[in-house]
Formats: sequence, C-alpha cells, structure tokens
Amino acid sequence: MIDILGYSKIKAMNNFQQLQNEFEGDYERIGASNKRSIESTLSTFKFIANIFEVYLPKIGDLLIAFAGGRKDTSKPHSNPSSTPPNLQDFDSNRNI
Amino acid sequence: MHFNGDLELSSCFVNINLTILSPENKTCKSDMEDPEVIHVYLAYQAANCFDLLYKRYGGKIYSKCISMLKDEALAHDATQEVFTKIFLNLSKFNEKSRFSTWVYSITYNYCIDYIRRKKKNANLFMDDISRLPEIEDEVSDDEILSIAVHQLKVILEELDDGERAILLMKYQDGMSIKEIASLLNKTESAVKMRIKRAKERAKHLKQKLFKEEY
Repeated sequence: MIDILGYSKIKAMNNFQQLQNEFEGDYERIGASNKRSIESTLSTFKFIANIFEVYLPKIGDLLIAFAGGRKDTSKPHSNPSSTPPNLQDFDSNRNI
Repeated sequence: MHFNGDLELSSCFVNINLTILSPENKTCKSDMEDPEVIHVYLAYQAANCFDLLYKRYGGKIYSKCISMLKDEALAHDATQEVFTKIFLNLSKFNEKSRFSTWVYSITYNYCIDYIRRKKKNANLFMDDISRLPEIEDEVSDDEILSIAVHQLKVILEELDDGERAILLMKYQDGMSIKEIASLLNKTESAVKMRIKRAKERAKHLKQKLFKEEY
C-alpha cells in the first residue's frame, strides 16, 4: 500500500520524536535564511584563516627584518640538473 | 622485460589524480552516512555536503533549542551559533560516538550554558535531594510515552530546565545513561535518579494540567 502521508513513519516515532517533527516543520519556513547566514559566517572564518595561512610566514620574516636580522640564505640550493634520489634506480633501469 | 618508464609513470600519475579528484568523490550523495559526508566535506569543502548535513540536522537542532530556550528568536540565533560551532570543529569529531550524539551534545551544552548565564550561574542539575518530591512507585516508560503530543508540549514547558533536558536526551535522542552522564559530567546513578524524578514530575503535571481529559 502506498504510504502517502508518511503515516507509518509517524507511527514508528514516539511522542517526543513527533514533537520534534512538529518543530522541524516550523523551522522549514526560516531554515533557508538561517542557512545563508551560517554559510556567510563560515566563509568569513575561512577567509580570515586563508589570510593567516598566506601572510603569517611573511609577518615572521618582517619581524626578523625589523629586529635587524636577515633571512638565512646560507643553505645551498639543490642542483637542478641532478637526479632526485628516489629516481636513481629508475634511471639505471631505463638505460638497460 | 621492457619497461617504458615515462609512459607508465605518467599514466600512474593520471590514474592517481583521477581517483582522488574524480567529481563523484568531491560531492556528497543523499544516501551517504554521516562520517562519509564529513570526510568529503573536510577534504573538498564541498557545498552540497554542507547542505546535506544542514538538511539532516538543522531542524533537529532548532527543535532542541526551542524546547530548551522556549523562545523562537533565541532558538533561531542558537541554531545558527550551534551549527557554526559544529562546522568549525568538524575536524575534532573523532567518530567514537554517533555524529548525531556529538551534534546534540554541542546543542544541549550551548543551551545549558545560555540558561546558566541568564539565570546567573544557576545549576540546572544540582543534586538537591530535599527539594525533590518523594518517589513512590517508579513511573514506567510506557506511561511517559503514552502522553499525547499536545500535552507533552505543555508539560515540557512547565518542567525545570534540567528535567526537560534530561527527558529530551533520553526519549527524543535515545541517548544511553552513559552518554547522558558524560554530557552532564555526572555519575550514571545520579542521572538515573534525575530521570526518575523528571518522569515523576511529568506524571504529576499531566494529572494536574489535564484533569478534564482523564
């Protein structure tokens, strides 16, 4: 039999859950506007987090510069023509 | 054995990228379980995963907020704040409990904190035994679950905040005694006692408020 009104679902719920269902029905009216404001709050948080992620390392450098220090440039650069260690075997296989 | 390194390596990368970034994995489907939806949301921040969780829990959170705070406007604001809190802390959900239990814990804690602040540090779950009426026979679950919905609505409004919260946790959310105890930071026996008292109060209120319906 077709359960048009979802009667069997209501029957399976206890009185507390039916009351919850009633409140949920009320919420559908304003749910969309509430959702939009939650989304905008979350995107604001995300934006602030992104700014921190991008600029925080730069702020560190800036503070070091203000304190009179210099960025450590003594580390040798890797040789761009060298083979990465995990591909050495691969290259030797290739010659075979 | 001939090994065409370039071709195999590049096709390997293509395969990996296709598996991880395939459009099916980046979206959430309505039949997905909560933990699966959370994983996809955390990995891709997919908007439809947010929609799905909002659809599943938005109304339920509102229902708890309005039952606890008894004010529509407050309940709207509380729903927004609770949902924002849930999404900002989604990565902290450790899957030790059901997602719904975690969501309801945050909701109840928010409402309890709000009521405490409003009533200036009132203890909703104080163990003041002298204040409570003597229990004769324990009220059965069937008796509580047979209360009509319109009566239950009035009875819940009349109950204390703590009593209302504990009955909602047990009968609406199906939380175990252990889960309620850890949420309220009380012992299991204290929770059992609280439930007993709340059931007794609900029965008394029903008899008092709906005399003519007997």
